[in-house]
Amino acid sequence: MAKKSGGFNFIFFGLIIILMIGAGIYFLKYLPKRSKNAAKPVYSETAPKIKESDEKMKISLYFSSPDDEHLVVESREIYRTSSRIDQVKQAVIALIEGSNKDLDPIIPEGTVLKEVFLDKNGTAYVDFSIELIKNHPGGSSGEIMTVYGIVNTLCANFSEIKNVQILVEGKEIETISGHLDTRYPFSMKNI
Amino acid sequence: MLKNGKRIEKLKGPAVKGINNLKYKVFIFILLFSSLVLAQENQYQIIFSESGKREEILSEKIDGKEYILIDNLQKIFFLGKNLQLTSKKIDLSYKDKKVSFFINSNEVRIGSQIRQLSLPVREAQKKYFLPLEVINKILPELLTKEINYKKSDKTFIVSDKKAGLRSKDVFTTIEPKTTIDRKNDNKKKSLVLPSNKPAIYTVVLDPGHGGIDPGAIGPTGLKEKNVVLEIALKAKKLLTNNLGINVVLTRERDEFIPLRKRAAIANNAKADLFISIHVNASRRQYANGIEVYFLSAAMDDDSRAVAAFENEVVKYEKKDKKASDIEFTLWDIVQTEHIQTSRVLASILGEQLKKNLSMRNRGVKAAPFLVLEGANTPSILVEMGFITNKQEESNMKKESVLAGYAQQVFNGVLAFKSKYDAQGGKK
Ligand SMILES: [Zn+2]
Repeated sequence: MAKKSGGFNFIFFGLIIILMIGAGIYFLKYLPKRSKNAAKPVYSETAPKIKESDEKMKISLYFSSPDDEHLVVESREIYRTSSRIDQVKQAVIALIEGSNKDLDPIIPEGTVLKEVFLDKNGTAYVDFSIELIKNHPGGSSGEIMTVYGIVNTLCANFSEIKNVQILVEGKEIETISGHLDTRYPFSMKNI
Repeated sequence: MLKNGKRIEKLKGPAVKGINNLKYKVFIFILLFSSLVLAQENQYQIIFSESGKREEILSEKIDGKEYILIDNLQKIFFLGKNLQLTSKKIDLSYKDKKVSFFINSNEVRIGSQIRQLSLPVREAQKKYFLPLEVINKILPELLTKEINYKKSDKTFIVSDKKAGLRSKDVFTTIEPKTTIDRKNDNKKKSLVLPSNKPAIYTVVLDPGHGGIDPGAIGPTGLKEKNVVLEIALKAKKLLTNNLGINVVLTRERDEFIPLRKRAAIANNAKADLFISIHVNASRRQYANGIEVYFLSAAMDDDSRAVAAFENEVVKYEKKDKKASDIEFTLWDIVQTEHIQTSRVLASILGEQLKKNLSMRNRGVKAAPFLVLEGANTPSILVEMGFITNKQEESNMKKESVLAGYAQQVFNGVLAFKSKYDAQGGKK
């Protein structure tokens, strides 16, 4: 009995050691490569991966005017990936990265894009990390900029997207900063 | 121990018998009930006056009310059906038109309109039943036909629609669309009150945020929740002392009140006006000025209302929901009925602010505010300056400035009240 369990333990520890070696190789080989791509914080461990492509395409990003009163369009190039979802993800990540000009960000600092889904009815579900709520400056104006900055960017660039539902950590949320109702999808609006 | 065991056994006997007895009773009851539910009651004639075709349809009584099996309606009127059981939705279609019913609900959606049936759509043994009234109240819209019901003959007469003639609408119609340029004929609908009673008697003021939710925070740490509570308390004093208005605050101290509960508080108080008070925030510290908002829909088509509605039906089905929760969800789109008046209220307050404050006026705007959606009364949200702006934040620390903001809320209510009291008095 005692002998048997000893043998079992040996196999068990052997497996753990093999796993640890495997993990070590993985971290040594894979991580440095990853961090080269992940220069920006938006590519976190949980952020979606995007395939690159040789071809590029132009999209319009909606950022906030400095007084948080209007959305202003800024042009940006993204990879024309074969996957449409990957294009959408690039657009959202570009929004997170912020304006190349002097426009205001619409997505709070530290927010990570977690996933994007598209359903048959033309609703895009965009899932963000909790920082979308936690780091939001508050106020109705800021919340309107955040919601419609995302919604307008997706609806304007991707014809199949008719409306956008914002999720946080995979869940439907009532509101971002206590004003707008984000339980349902939004369609594009001139702000 | 043994004694106890015996005792238990003794008790077990009759109890088990009782269960068997109960099972038997339940079985009989189910038999009786199902025969009751599906007892075929009345035979109705449907006459197509243009073709002369006659059809018969049987109604079935559910809880004593007359219902029609959907499949029978489909056959007679050549309707398409689409069942979405996850959302409890049943679509009936004819040519390019569609109506949506929701199981266990009285609501019917026809295009952009929501209508109320007097009875809910029912499900029994995987079959779906519509109240009899659907034939002459909903089908005319779907078929673009005239359908008249002769109660004495139990007959429905289907005929082509005559131009200019419309069957009288007996439903309460809620339009989920928030078209701004609607005719002003229903503008005062919610405020027309009998004779000399004032139209504005109860005002609910809603100081935003509170408790664990500080709202926006200024550069020196001033919190939105404290500023807006101060303004609301001051405005309450002004309104009570000078106008004798009954003022209810959604919170009187620093506590967290969920957004949907705030509208519920207004509804319970039978508010004639609901004003949510906030101060604004921006990432850029020079953003400044005042804004007044009323509600607009998040979606430009009507899919949002459907989404809201489906959501609500699902919630309603959950047994563990308390009655109050259900009420909240049922109130979700109630504000749509008052949007025109809310818009008037917003511009009246906007005018006051423009006239009396030297701050930048960012205008009257519309957005899908959660706190406004459930309020069954004209409702607005005001953003009294930017707490993130150094100058405006330092102003918000001054008692006199907050008193000035409260005075503007008072002025807005007063201007609105005098406008509508006069109209209420006229009637
Ligand atoms: Zn606020």
